[in-house]
Amino acid sequence: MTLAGRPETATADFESWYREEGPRLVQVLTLALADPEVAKDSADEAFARAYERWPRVSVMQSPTGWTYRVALNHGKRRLLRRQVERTLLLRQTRETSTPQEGTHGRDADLWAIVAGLPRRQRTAIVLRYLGDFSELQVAHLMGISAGAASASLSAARRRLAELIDNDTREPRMPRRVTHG
Amino acid sequence: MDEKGGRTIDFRAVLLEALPPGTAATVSSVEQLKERLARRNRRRRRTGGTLGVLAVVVPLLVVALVPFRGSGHEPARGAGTVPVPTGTAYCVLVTTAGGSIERIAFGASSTDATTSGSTPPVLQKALIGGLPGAGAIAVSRATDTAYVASRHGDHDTLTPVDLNDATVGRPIGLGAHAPGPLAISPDGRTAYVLTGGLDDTVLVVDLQRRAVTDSISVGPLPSAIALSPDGSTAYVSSWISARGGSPVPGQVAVIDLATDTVTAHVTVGVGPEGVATSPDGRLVFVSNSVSDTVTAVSTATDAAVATIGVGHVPKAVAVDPSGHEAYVVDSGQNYPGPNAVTPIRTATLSASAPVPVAPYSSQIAMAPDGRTAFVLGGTLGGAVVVPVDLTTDTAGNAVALGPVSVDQVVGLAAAPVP
Repeated sequence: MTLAGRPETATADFESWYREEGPRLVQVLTLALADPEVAKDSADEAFARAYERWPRVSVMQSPTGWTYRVALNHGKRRLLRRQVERTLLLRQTRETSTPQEGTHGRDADLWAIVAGLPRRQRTAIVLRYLGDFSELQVAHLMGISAGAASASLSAARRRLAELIDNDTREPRMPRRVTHG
Repeated sequence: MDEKGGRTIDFRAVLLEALPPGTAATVSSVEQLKERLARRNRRRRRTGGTLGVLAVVVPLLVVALVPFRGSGHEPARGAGTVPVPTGTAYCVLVTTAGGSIERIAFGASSTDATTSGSTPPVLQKALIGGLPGAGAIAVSRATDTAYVASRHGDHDTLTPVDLNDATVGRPIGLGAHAPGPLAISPDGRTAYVLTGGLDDTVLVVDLQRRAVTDSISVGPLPSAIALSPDGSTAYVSSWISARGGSPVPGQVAVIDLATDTVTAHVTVGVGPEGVATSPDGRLVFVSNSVSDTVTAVSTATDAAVATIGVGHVPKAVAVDPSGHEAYVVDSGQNYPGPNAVTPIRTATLSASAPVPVAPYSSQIAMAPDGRTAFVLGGTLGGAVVVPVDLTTDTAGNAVALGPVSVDQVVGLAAAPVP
C-alpha cells in the first residue's frame, strides 16, 4: 500500500481493501454494538472517512486498525446519543447493551446471549474471534490496557462457554448458571 | 480452539451464528460511500461549518504529534504511606482497570508444611495508590520500585511506585503506543515495554533519564516479553498473524540488549501469549494460546527443543526461582470447573498433573522466597489470588481482592519487602 500521489491506483487499491475488510467490519460492529442499524451506519462512516483520506490512511501502518477505531468510536457515540434521547423521551433508563428489539441472529438465542454480554467483554471477544485481532491489538482498538483486554477476553470466553450448551457442538438455549 | 475433554467451543463459529442473516451482504458499495461523503459535504457547505472537520482532524493530530508529558492530564494520586506490617515476607501487587493499585502483605510460609500444602498468612490488604487506566505491572528488585504501564485515553505512561513507602511517583510519558507487558532490567535502569496495535515494537525506557531512548522492531503482534537473568537478552513472542483462517505459527524474537538488535527468530506454536526464562538462562518457555502447548527454546541454539501439551488457552508462564519447574496458567473455558496451572519439569520437559486454581485465571507471579506462586483469577463477583505451594504443587486458600470483578484486574507482581 504505497501509493501516495497515484490517484487511479489509489482508488483501485481502496476498492480491493474495502472488499476484503468491509463485510468483516460490518459483522464485527453488528455484534460489538449489538445493533445492526448503528453498525451499518458506523461502518459506512468509517470507510467513507478512510476513502476521503485514503492517500494518508493507506500509508498508515494499519489502515484497518484506524478504520476499526473510527467505527467503534462512532458507534459508541451514536448509541450513547440514542440512549440519552430515549431517556429524555421515555424517561426510561436502559443499558446501552440492551439489544435492539426485533433483531434476531441466525440463532435468536445466540444473538440474545452475545448481545447480553457486558459491552466491554462483548467488544473484546468479537474483535478477537470475528475480527481476528490479537489481544494487544484488541487493547489498542478499544483504547484500554493490554491487561484489561486480556481479562475481558477471559471473562467473555468463560461467560459464553457457560451460557452455551454445546455438548453437541450445536449452540442452544442458555444454561442456567449460578455464578459467584 | 479445541478443548481438552471433548467440549469444543469455536468462538468464531458461535459469533457468526449469532449474527443476523446476511449481515456481511449489507456492506455499502464504494459509490454509496461517495454519496455519503457528498451528502455530508453539501450539508457542511450549507451550514458553512468547518468545525465538524476540525473536530475530526484535530484530535487525530494531537494524538499523533504530542506525546504525553506525564505531569499533565490525570496526575497519579497516591493513597499516602501505608506501612507494611512487621513480619511481612513479601507483597503481591495487583492493578485494576478501575485504576487502583492494591497490595497484599504475606507473612512467611510455615516451615512445617506437610502434604496438604501451605498457605502463607495474609497480614494486610491495602490500597496503595490510584492510576487511571492501569495495566501491566513489573517489579525491579534492584531499585525496590514497581512500574505500572497505563493508558488513559491515548496518554500512555509508565509510572513508578516506590515499594519502600508505597508512593506513586511521577509518570514517564510513552507517547501513544498502547503499552502492553513489560520487563525491567536486572540493574533496574531500563524498562522494556511492548506496544500494541500498530507499530510492533519494544520501547526501551531509560528509567533514570525518564525517557524513551530506543524502539526495537519485533515480529508482528508482539504479546509477551522476558529477559535473560543476566539482562543481556530479551525474548519477545509475536503472533505474526492473527488474521485469516489458517493458523500461522508465532515467533520469538531474540534481542541483543547491548545493541538493541534482533539476532534470531525462533518459530513456536500458534498464538504465543506468555514467555519466561529459566533462572540459569538456558531455557525459554513460550505458551502457545491457540495450539494449547508450551514450546521450550534452548538459548544455546535459539531453537525449539520440546513442545509440551498443556491446558486450554495457556497464557501466563513463570519458572520457579529454583529452576525446577515452569508453571503455565490456562485461561480457556473449563466449564464448570476452575482453570488450572500445569507444572512442567524443566529437567524432563514434561507436564505434571494440572493444579486447579480459580475460574478466569490469567496471570502468575512467583513469590521471592521461591515457595509460592500466585495465580490471579476469580469470578465477576470478586477477584482472588490463589497461592500455589511450589513444593507440593497444591493450591492453597484463595485470597479475595475485595469487590472487584475479575475482568477488572489487569496486573500481578510479587515484590520482596525492601
